[in-house]
Amino acid sequence: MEKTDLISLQHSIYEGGMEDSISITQHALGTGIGAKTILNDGLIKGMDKVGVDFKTGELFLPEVLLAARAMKASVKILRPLLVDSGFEPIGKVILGTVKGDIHDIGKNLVGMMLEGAGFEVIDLGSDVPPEEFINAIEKENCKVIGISAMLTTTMMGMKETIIKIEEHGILAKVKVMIGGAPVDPEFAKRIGAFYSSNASEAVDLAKKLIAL
Amino acid sequence: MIDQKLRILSSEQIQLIHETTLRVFNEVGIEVMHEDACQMWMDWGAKRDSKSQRIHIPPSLAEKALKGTKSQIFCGAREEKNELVLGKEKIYGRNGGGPGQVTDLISGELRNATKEDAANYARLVDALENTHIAAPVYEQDSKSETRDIHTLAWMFKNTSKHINIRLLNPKSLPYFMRMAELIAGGKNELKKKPVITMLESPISPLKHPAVLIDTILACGNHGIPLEICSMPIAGATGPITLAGSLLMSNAEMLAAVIFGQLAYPGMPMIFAPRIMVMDMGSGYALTGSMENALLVTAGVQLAKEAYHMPVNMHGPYTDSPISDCQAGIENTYFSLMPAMAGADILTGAGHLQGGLVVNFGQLVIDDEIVGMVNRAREGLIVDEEMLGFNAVMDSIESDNLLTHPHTIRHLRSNRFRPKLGTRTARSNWQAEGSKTMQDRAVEKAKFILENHQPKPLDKDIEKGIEELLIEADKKLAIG
Repeated sequence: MEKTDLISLQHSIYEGGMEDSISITQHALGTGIGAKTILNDGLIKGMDKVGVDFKTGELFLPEVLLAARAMKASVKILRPLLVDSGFEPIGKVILGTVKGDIHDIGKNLVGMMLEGAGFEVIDLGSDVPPEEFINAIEKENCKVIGISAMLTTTMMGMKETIIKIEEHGILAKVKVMIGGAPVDPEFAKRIGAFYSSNASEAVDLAKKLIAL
Repeated sequence: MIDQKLRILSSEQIQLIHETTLRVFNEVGIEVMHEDACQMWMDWGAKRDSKSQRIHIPPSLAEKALKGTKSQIFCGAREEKNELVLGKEKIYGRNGGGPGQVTDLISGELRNATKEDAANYARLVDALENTHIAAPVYEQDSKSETRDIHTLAWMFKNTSKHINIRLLNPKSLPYFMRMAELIAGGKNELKKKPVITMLESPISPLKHPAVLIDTILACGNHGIPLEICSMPIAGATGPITLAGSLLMSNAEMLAAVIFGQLAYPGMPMIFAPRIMVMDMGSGYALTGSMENALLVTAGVQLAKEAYHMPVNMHGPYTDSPISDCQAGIENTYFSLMPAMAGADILTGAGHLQGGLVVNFGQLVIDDEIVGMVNRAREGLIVDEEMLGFNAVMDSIESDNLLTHPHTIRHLRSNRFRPKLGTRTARSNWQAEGSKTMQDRAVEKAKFILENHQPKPLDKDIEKGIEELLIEADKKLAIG
């Protein structure tokens, strides 16, 4: 029974069926399966397959988002139980679009994917000045921040944000991820940041940076 | 001129798009992020939803305002020969504007644009035959707060063609107006001879940011043509269907046109729906796909048949990161389709990678594409002289018509002659170094930059601009 529930949970995540994943999660808990087992062997396994198939082009972006949404709904049920058992989220990530840029769809995608993968996301919204990033880093004691820009004309603001964080003396504490249409790995390197080209890669990158 | 424009939408389809757009105005409304503008809308009879704060525009108000749009727009320039009128059958080329990165002409590497690049981009446009309107690459040398003002100054110094530019910093707006007045010779002169067109955008879905409102009001006040460019991403910020994104784009753009026409009746505005299409595998917002080309073609029809406005469309446009075969294919269909539908301006020459990068060699190639497209739109004339009945008669005796008077009369008027394309025997091509079109384009760009000098600004005007830049840096630049 345990195995059946976990496999159908993987399926429901892969299919992006939020209602299914909620009911199977509840059913699994009812039959006595531990929250941690449900998370690791059901939800995360399902999401891993989503990640693999997205990379090969089998799955499209909206399907990945539906999967992330289903995952998030199930994690919400599990979270109190996980906390009780001393389980911590994988990590915390602060997100925001760069100062001057209010295009936030890409940043929101990354946020959904990170939450789907078990991260806690502090979303500062769009058009975020460097000072707000700095305050959030200090308040949340966060190791990873993600900045996004849509316009070639605002991307240089990322560099300015990083310089301000450095001037504040806390750059050593954080790793900065960047993304968005106009930026590339070269640009990221130049400004001392880490690059990912889409929301799924951003999750992999965040996992790497958290582990550093 | 071609007899039949390319039409991909039927009149019934256009009517349905228009009627549904009116429903969006009325039932969905626009998020207007500008308190004074909300008040103006309500004074004109629009309703503000007490909960969502969205502005709902009644169909009667929309229809009334849209009747006032101008179908022809005069664009001034520093030199009279570069002045133009939009909406009079001729098609004008404008280079792609907006990026802050260029491909280095010598090394081919991608790098940030410098002051020299901003100047050189304008100078190239100044020399090119089929690029009539100049748009900027934003140099990254100046402080970010005044980068746009400096860029405009580089353009005025380096081209006497009409300039199309947008703000990077909303606070730069009064400086743009003052610089344009300096060039035109005063506020009234600017109204008569607007030397710039501005460009501003709604934000999809259906938002009017403050900078859009402020730009509409400033352009209306100064008589400056304004291009309303809306760029929903089909499948992300607009419906995934082409018709759905056309609807979204039409609604948010026309709402801005209506606002302009109500605030400044008859103000010159240009229709510019430039819809992007999301590739659902990669999440990349495409600009050069065939679906994009269909959308710009449909957009031209909407502008001309439903709203009788001048229209500026993307084309040439490509998603290729380099000047290659893909760029050639996409740029060609992406110019030809909107041009044959009746576009007034084609925008994008010199852009690569969906408008993220400026490439000078590509600009030279695209200039040639726009020239060809212009030729295509002229079509062929069929009358007694052009049919050449006498030439047919005389060919019986003379065997060929190479020196026939009819041939001599039409020797030059009838053909577009490419400057870059190869039209020679293989042996000649080899003797000339077996160069590709890209090689020749880069050579031509280098030659222009070494030899072409634009008409210089008057000393007084140049001094005025320098003073304006110093003032702007002092007042706007923070660090």
